[in-house]
Amino acid sequence: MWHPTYGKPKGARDEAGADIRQGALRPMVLNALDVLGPLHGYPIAQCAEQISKALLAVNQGTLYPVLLRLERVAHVSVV
Amino acid sequence: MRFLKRMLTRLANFITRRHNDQRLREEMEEHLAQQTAENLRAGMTPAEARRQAVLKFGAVQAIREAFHDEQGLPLIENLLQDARYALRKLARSPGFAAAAILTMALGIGATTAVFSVVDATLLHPLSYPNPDQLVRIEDDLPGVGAQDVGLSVPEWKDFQRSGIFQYVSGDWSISANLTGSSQPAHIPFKMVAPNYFALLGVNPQLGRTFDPHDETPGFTLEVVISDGLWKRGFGGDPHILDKSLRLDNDAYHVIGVMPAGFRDEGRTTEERSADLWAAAGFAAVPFPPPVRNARFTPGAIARIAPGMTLAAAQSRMDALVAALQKQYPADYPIQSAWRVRLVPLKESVVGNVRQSLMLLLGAVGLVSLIGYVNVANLLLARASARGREIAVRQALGAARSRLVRQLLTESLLLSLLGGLAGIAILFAAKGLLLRMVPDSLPRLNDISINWSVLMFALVLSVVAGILFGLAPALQASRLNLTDKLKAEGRGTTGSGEQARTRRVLVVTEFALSLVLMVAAGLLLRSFWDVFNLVLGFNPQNVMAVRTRLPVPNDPKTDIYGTAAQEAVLVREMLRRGRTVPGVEEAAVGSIDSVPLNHRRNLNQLILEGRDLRSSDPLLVEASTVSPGYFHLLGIPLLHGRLFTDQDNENAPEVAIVNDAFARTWWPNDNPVGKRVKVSGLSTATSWSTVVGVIADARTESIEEADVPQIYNCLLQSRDDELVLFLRGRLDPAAIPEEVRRQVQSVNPELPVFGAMTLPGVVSGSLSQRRFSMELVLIFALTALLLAALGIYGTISYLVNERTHEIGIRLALGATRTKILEMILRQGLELAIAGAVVGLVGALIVSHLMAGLLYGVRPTDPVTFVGVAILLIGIALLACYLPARRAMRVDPMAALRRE
Repeated sequence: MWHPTYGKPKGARDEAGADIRQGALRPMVLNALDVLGPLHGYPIAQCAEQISKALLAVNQGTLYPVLLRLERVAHVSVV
Repeated sequence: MRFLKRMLTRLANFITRRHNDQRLREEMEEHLAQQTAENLRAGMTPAEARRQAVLKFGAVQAIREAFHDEQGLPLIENLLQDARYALRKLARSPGFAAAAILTMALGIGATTAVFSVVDATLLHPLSYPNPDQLVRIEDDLPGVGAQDVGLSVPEWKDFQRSGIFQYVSGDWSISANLTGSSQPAHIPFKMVAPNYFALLGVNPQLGRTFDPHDETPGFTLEVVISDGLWKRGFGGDPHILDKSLRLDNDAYHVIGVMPAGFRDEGRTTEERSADLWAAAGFAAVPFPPPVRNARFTPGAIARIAPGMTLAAAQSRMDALVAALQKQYPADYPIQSAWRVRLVPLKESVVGNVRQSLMLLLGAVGLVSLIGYVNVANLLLARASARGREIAVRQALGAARSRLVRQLLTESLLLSLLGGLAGIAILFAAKGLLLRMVPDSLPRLNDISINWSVLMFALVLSVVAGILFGLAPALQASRLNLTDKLKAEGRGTTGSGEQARTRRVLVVTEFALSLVLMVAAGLLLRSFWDVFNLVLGFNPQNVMAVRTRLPVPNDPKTDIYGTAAQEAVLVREMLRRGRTVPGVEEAAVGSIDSVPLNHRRNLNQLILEGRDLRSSDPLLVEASTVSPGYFHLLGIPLLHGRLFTDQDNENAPEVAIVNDAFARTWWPNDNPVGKRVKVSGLSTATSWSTVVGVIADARTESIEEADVPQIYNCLLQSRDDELVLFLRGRLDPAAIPEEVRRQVQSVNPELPVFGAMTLPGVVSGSLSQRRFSMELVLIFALTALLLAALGIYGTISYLVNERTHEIGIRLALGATRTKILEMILRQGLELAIAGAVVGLVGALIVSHLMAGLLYGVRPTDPVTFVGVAILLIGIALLACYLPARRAMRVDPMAALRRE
C-alpha cells in the first residue's frame, strides 16, 4: 500500500521527462492518498477515474510507473 | 552527489530486485482481481470480467519492463548476462577455453611470481619505524679509486655531533666463538654502538636493549641475542636474562632477546645473519687507538635527524666533509678526494639486485605479453568464425558498443579465469619456486603472496583482458553487415583487415621473442665465458674447513696473541691435517685466502721509498697463508721463491705478491727484494720483504683476472679466522668430523665449521649469474615456442582461408612447388618483419642490461645474427606444415567445397 509523505525531502529529485499523462495523474494520486489515507493501487485508480474519466479509462496500469516515480522521490512510500 | 545517491538506490534495487518485482506483480494481481470483482458485480460472466479487467489495465509486461528500467542497473545486468553467455560459449569449446585460460594463467602466474619478489625486495619499506630516515654512511676515496673504505672513530664522533643525525652507529659484522655448551660454536655477531637499537627503533621481546647514552670506550660486556640463538642455543630459556655467555673467553651479560622477526638489513648475507649484538665505543682495547686515519670500522648506519630530508642531510654532510678536510689536511690529502655518501639503507640492501630483478620482471612480462598476443590471435580467429552470429545480432539492432562490450566481457572473463588459475598455480608451487631463489637475495623471508601481490594479479588480468580483447572486439563489431551476411552465405571468410591484425600480432610476437632470445643469448654467452675462464688455480679435490681463534678483550689473556704463539697451532694443524685419510697436501690460510670468498679485505699498503703523501693511501687485497698454500692451489711461481717453514717467527718477515701487484706498483723493477708494509687490523705493521711473485689467479673475483694481491706468511703474521685446506681423494661427508677431531685434540675450545669443497665455492660464486641466465633462457624458449605456435596458427588459418584460391591456382596450372613457395614466402615476410622490429628492441634492451654481461659486448653480432637466423628458421618450420597442406590441396575437392 502507498501513503503520502508530504513535502519533498532534501535532495530528492523531481523526475524530468514524465509525460503529460503522468503529469496529470500525479496530483490525483497525491490527492487521493491525502484524503483517504494509505491505499492499494486499485482504489487510487478508482479515485483518479472518478475525477477524470478520460485519463484512466484504459491503461490503468500506467498508474504503477507513476506510483513508482513518486515513491522514488519520496512523495509516497510503501507501508 | 545526486547521481551517486541515485546509483546507490539503483544498486540497492538491483540487489533486492526480485523482491520489488514480486511486490509489483502482487499489487497488479490485486488490482486485476478487484477490477474483475467489480466487473462481476456489474453482471459480466467471469471470463468476460477478467478479460475486461485485463484490457482496462493495459500491457502488464510493458509496465513491468518500464518498472524494471526505472529500477535496475542495465549495465551490470548486461554484464552478468554477457558473462553467463560467455561462460556457456566457453563451455561449448573447452579446447579453446583450456588453451586460452592456461596461457593466461601461466602468463599472469609467472609475472605475479616475479612481482612478488620485486614487491618484497624493492617496493616494501624496511620493517623499522620511519625507514626513510635510515641511511648507510659510505666513505669513498675516489682519488685513489677506493670505494666504501670504512669510518674511523673520530669521524664517527664528528658525524654524531654534527646535528645532521639523530643517531650514528658503527656497524661491524664479525663472528665469535661461543663456548661453554657441549660444542664450541661459531656465531655471526655484530659490533655496534650502544645507540644501535634506539637508532633502528626496535624493541626486544625480552629484557631491554643497550642504553643509547652509554659512553663505555671498549665493549660494554652486555649483549642482545636473536630469537634464533635463544631458541637454538638456550632452548628458549625464560631465565636467559640472568645468565652470561662466554664469547671468545670473555663473559658477557645477556640483557635482551630480539623478537623472532627481527633481522639486520645488511649488504651481504653475512651482514644480515647476526645472531648476537655487542655494544662498544670502538675507542679502547681491544680496538686500536682512535686516530682519524684508522678507518677500521667497515661502515656505519645512521638515522637522519627528524624532519630533515636526505638531500638536506647530504648537503650538510658535504659541508662537514669540506670543513674536516680543511681542519685535518694531513689525514685527508687533497688528491684522495675524500667523500661521504649517505645511501638510503634500503638502497644499500637491495641496490645490487635491482638490475637482475628488473631484467627478470621484464623477461617474464615479455613472455606473458607473447602469451596474451597468442590468446588475442585465438580470439580473432574465433571472432571471424563468429562473424555470422555478430552480423545477425547487429541486424537485429544490437548497438556496436553493446557488441564490443559483449566481446570484451568474454575476453575479460577469460583473463580473470586465467588470473585465478595463475594464482592457484602460484599458491600450489610456492614452496618449489622459493627454493629456486638464491639464498643471497636480500629480504628473501619477506616474499609472500600478500594483498598487493593479489591486487597486482587482478589489475594485470583486467588490463590483459581488455588489451587483448579490444582488437578482436572492435574488429568484429566494425564489419560491414550486408557484406558479411552475403559472404557468410558463400562460405568464404575473413576480411582483409582481420588478416592484417593477425599479421601485426604475429610480427609483435616475433619481435618480442627475439628480444628475449637475444637477452638470453647474451647472458648465456656471458655465463659460458665466465664458466670457461682459466681460473689460474685448481679447485679440484680441494676442501677447506674453517676454525676461529678466540680474541679476548684483554690481549694479555690471548693465548694466540702473537705470531709465535699461533705458529704452534698452525704447525700442529698442518701436521694433523696431513694424517687425515686421503689427504695428500695440507695448508692453512686466513679466511681471506679462500678463493672467491667475496669478502672485503682491503688493507692499507705502504711501499718503501714511495712518498707517503703523494700516494696515501694505497689499498690492496691482502691475506696470510702458510707454506704449501700456493702449491696446493696449483698457482705457479714466476720469480723468486715461495714461503718455506724457515719463514718463521725468528726469521725476517717476507711477502709474496702476484703478477698484477708487481705490474701495478713496480712496472719496471724486479719486485723481489722490495720492502712493503701492509697494515690491517690484525697484522703487524713492520716491513716485510718481497721474496716471490706468483702468477695471477682469479681468486679474488672470477670476473677480474688482475686484482693486485699480497700474501704474508702465517708463521710470521697472525690471523684469527683460519682455514685448513686439504687436497687429495677426500670424502666430503667424513672430512668435517675428521678435521674437528684433529683440531679439537689440539684445543677443545676451537669451533670447527664451514666445511666447503672448492669446486662448490667456484660454482656457488656463479649461482646468481646462473640463476638469471637460466630463468631468462626458460622464458626465451617459452616465448619462442609461443611465437612458433602463433605463426603456425596464422599461416594455417591463411591456408584454410585460401583453400579455394589455391584450388583455382592449381586448376589453372600452378605447380605445387609454386604454392609451397607462396605460402612460405608469406610466413617468411612475417618472420623477417618481426626480426627487424625485434632487433631494434633487442639493441635497446641489451644496452640496458650491459651491467650483467661479461666478455660480450651488448651489440655482439654473433648473438644477434644467430638468434635472428634461428628464429626465422623456426618460423619457416612452423609454416612448412600448413604450407605442405596447401601444396596437397586437391583442386577438385577445393572447388567443389564451395
